[in-house]
Amino acid sequence: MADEERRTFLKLCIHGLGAVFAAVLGVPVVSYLIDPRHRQAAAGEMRPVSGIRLTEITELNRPVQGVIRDVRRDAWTLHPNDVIGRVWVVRSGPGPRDLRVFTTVCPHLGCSINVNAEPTSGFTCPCHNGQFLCDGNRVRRDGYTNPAPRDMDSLEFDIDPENPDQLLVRYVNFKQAENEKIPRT
Amino acid sequence: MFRKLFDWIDRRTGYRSFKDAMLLEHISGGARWRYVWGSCLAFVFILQVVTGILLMWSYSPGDSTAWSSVYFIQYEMDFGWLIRGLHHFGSQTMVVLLAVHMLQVVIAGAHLPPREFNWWLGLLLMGVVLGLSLTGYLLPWDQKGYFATQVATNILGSIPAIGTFLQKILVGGSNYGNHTLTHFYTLHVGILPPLLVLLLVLHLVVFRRHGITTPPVSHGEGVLNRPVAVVRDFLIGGLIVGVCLFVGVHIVTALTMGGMFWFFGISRFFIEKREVEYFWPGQAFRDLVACLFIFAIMLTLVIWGGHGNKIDAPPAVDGQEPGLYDRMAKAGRAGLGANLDAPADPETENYPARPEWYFFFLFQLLKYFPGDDILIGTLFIPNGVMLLLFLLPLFGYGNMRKFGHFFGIVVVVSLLMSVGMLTLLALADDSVKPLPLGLGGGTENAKHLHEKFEEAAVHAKRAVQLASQGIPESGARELLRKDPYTKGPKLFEMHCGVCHKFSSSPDRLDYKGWVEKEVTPTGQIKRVFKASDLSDFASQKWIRGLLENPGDPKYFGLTKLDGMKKWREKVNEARAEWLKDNAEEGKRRIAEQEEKFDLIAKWLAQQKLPRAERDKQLEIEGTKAFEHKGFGYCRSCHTAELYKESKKEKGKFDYEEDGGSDGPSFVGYGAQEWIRLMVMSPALRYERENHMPAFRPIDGPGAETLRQEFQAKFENTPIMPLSDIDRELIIRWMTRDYRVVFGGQTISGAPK
Repeated sequence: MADEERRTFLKLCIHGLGAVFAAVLGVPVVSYLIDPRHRQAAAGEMRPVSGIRLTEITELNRPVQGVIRDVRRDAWTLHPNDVIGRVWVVRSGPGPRDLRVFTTVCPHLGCSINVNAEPTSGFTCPCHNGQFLCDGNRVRRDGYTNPAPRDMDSLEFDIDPENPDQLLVRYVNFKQAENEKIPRT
Repeated sequence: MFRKLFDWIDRRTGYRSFKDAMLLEHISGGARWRYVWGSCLAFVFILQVVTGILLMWSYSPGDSTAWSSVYFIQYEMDFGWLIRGLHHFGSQTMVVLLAVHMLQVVIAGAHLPPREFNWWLGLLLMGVVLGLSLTGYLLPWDQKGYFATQVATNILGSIPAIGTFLQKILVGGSNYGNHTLTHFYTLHVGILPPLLVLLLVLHLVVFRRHGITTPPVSHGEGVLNRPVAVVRDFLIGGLIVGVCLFVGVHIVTALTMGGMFWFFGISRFFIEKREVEYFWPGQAFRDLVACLFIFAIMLTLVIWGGHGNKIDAPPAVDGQEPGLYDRMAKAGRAGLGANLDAPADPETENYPARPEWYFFFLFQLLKYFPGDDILIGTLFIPNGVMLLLFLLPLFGYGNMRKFGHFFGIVVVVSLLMSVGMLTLLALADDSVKPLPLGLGGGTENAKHLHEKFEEAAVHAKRAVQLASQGIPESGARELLRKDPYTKGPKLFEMHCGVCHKFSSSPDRLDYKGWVEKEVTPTGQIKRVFKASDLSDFASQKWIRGLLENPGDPKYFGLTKLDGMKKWREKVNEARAEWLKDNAEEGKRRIAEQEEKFDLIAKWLAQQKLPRAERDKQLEIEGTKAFEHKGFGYCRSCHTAELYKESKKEKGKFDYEEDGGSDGPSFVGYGAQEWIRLMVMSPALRYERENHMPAFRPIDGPGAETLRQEFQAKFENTPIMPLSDIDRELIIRWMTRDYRVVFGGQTISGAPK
């Protein structure tokens, strides 16, 4: 009986010590594995759009693509001046601010949306055939299922007060496959 | 309910009988502390696998990424320092445990028949572990791994006939590079570990077939001998603590190691000796306790035994101090964990390569076999020893058994003692202080080497500090190549130091200035200064000193520039007149003039700042002094940015550039742009008398045009080659602007 008790005690010790060890090692291991949670998406600041001159975009409903550059951190690498996103810019009226600005990222699953062969007819995403009009709304018609869960993601914009050619955009990446625009963190 | 589930699983898998077969190993003579070492080795190996896989999760084997990814693990990822530290010290722990296990096996005679195969498998396992250590040492792609591992691959290359070929295959070419890393990485994670698992399984299977080897003296640790065993354990523990402290192991680590044996000793009062016992739970408990002690030792090594480098953290954002979790998770930034040397850079001159300490004995051995005899040290002795070890069991057949046992102990003990002795000699050779017992050390070479170690340490610290601000795409070695702080003094010495002195300054990189008229061993005079001392050029003190005595060798004494010397002569003559006329009045006027000089120096020293950052009151007073005609009238020769009240509007001040052009301009005096113009086109600064050559880039498509244009205008100014990047490094170093120069752009500015 004493032997049985001793064995039980030793087993208890083994399991207890094992649990302590598992915790001492386990907490750092899990923290290490989920470390990417600290890597935040770049803050949505107003950034200049390069590659386009606003005063030259005069034609209505003809999308033009612009590029947004900024510092980009990729784990250890610092890219001082990297393309962090692209936008489609569409003129919707005669006023200087009558513009629409969309990200080129498809709200379906993130491919980059292309302009149609006939630009004024809107956009098509080359991956799963999501189609959008020049105002960013999804195409709806009989016999065609649009995979996109929401319209193209419009972005807040401004015009540089000192330079009428310079478009400024608050560039944000939104989550895919959601019905609403939810910024990625 | 669980009972039923496990019954169901057991009926289908038979796991219980498997578990019993594993755990219910019969241990004749009962469980003992002395049987734990093999299990400890297996435990550390499993820990290496776990931490190794975690490291693979974030490691990137490539010439431009390997160091950076290790940096990122060590300094940026939560508990990365701990994972990497455990893996780093795990390898050292395995090597030490291997030695202990091996020693214990021969003492017990466990290598003798019928256990030959287990001994051989053990030797193969040892080879694999050493192979893992060697390949792992290279993977961070830091300077020490890069240069030390070259020795190993060159040894491979020295093997007759096939060496060159093998070396080329392993290295992936003639030089270290991307494929060296991918090859070593594959060996380290994909080939050697599975091989080790395979050998380990065989080792255990064969071990189970023959069972544990009971101590040759059968009374062993029985109840009767308990006091003896306790005393012995305490002595072993004390001896280990003593040796550890002697070789410089941290006291916590030393006490944990000693504590393990003291614990063994104390436990003997509480654990009753059994004659018959199974592995489970008696031996399993002992194994686990010992394994946890080993783990604790590894933890103390990671926390206290590492040579990590601190990163000076940027000020806390929003004034929020990091909490306990953050401080623990990012303790690598406080210098905890394994060392990471500066990024591997083949351009490095004279890197003092050293292997990991447990290879010191092989490293030391190489020193005794010069030239043609190299193979004795690299090939014959190590392989001869391995062969002897392989043959050891064969000495135990028949009535040779007693001799075989004794011989085994002699061989292994003398081997370990030789290893220890060679390690000590290797340490002694590198020691700056002479060691006791005439072991050596304290030589001039050791002191010189120590300087190299210190320089390497400065570079390592600087590298991680720079990396914390972001690493360029082209890789981390660019950081130090374009670092003004470390590269600046070297480039200055090479290009400017031929004529200019640069006295030492306490806030700079340990920099001693240059020896004047240094004579090389061949009797050549290496350096005769011909120009001013540029240390703290354009500082208030420097300018004030120049005004005091322009003819001092620190200023224009060694040059033919005599404008300021003449000016000072006039000042001195005037002062002599004053004193002759009226001693009291003369003294007063001199004191007044001295005050003016102080003011000028202070004002001129702030011209290097942007206008917005200058002290405006000083600008106004400095301008007045600059235009004051009482002593030589600065503006007759120099142009400056004059800060004066507008004639049209009362109370409104504005800048105006005006003055003479005989002397150098004071516009932005001492700023980077001013120095740049001086370096690239000195004749624009001191047109007539200047002997300084123009330092300009002479490569590139436009260079020839620029050269001809330059020579057309300044035919008497010779051109010396100096690339844009080197010039900027020198200028930044001189002006204490230590941001990395990257393609003319800074990338180490505060990131957004």
